[in-house]
Amino acid sequence: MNCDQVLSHLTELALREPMDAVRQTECQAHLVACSNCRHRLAEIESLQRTLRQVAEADRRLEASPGVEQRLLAALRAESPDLKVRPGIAGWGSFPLWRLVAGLLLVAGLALSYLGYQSKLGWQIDTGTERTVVATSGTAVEGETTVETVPVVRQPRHTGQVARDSRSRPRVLADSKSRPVPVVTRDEAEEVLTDYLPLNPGQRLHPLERGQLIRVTVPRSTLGSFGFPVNPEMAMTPVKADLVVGEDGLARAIRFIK
Amino acid sequence: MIDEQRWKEIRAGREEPFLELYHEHQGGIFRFTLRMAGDEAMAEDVVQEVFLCLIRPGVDQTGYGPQRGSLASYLCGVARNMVRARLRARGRLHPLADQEDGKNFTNREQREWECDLATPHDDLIRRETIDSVRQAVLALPEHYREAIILCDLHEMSYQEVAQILGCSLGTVRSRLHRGRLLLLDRLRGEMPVTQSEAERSVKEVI
Repeated sequence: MNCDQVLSHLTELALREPMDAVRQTECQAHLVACSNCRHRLAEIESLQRTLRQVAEADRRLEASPGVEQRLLAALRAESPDLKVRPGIAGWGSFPLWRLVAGLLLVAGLALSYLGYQSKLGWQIDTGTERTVVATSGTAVEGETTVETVPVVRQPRHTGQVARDSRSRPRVLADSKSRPVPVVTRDEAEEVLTDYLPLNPGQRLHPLERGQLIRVTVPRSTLGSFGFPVNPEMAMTPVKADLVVGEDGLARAIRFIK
Repeated sequence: MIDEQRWKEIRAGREEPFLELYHEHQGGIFRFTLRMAGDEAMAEDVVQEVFLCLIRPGVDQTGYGPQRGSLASYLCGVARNMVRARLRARGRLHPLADQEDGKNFTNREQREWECDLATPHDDLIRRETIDSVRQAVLALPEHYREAIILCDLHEMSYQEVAQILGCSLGTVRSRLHRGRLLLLDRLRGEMPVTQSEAERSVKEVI
């Protein structure tokens, strides 16, 4: 056997893999006589040891927890069985307190602003079934819309982003005149998520009436609810509707595209 | 192996069996992609896409069956196709052939590195050698690289690797042999072998 022939078997020899007995004997005989091939064999063994060290060092590398969160959100969204959708218990481990605090602050600012606006002539009429007041304020980095709504228990939502099904035009509050159809800006083209609970771990009074407040939040907020967010766009604004109870507490949020 | 009942539970949106499956296999997929691409973000994307394939009805419902070997091999095969497609899209199948001179850590490896700066000298040398090997593996041609990663880093059997790569056992052996020799050439000087080590190796073989 010459060096090239032995070289083709060095890996098997180094890894102590089973090989043909005759070839093995010939390789061994060559190795006794050839220092170059002995050195090569030692190099391959050294490489294998180092590869094992690399494998050992790699063993602790895993995908970040964010991947798991995104997959769970996808699993919930794809689930055909609505009973296993994220319920209160499913949110137990969610780090929402920061978001809740932030949104409460936003809601407070928006309400204060609207109170100020009403002194200037805007009036929120809560006597009708559904009243819409649209303003172009700048309380929360952009436009704000407040809608007072009687709370109606809604059927379970789909968990997926869906087209807004509200096709009936809303009316301005005016009990004397005939309702005038008003479609709020861009409503027809809005894509909405479900309402997502903000305080799943807390026991709150049942919501009888509330306000729907249109706010603008950073896109990174979506990540807190398991939606994928491009880190490069984390600070770009996203519109959202906030459900605020009469007690002033924000109860739920939905995101708008 | 994953049984029919577990599939049904996952399809029905049950989180427990899904998480069990995820925790069992995500690390391997992540590490395989990371070593193939050297890109942590891509590795996470691929992990996510592989498991989305399991979740989404219609996408891969009939993709896996016992006849396709272990679930780990199957998922690794799916990940392999994804990472190959991404690398091709990037036009960098042989990405780091000319970058061996500089350290090119992923963020996580950089953190590991920084944490270990205070460790003894030998450990530092070992770290450098490990990093050199990682870079050398990354610089291998793709078909050698995947064979080395699966066999030597993931410690899979030749049979499993042949199944994932869709080739014969002989091809796997051949790729491994050539890949290891290429690695040795690239790492010459990084792993000096002493005369006594060489003698000891021969004694063990003979």
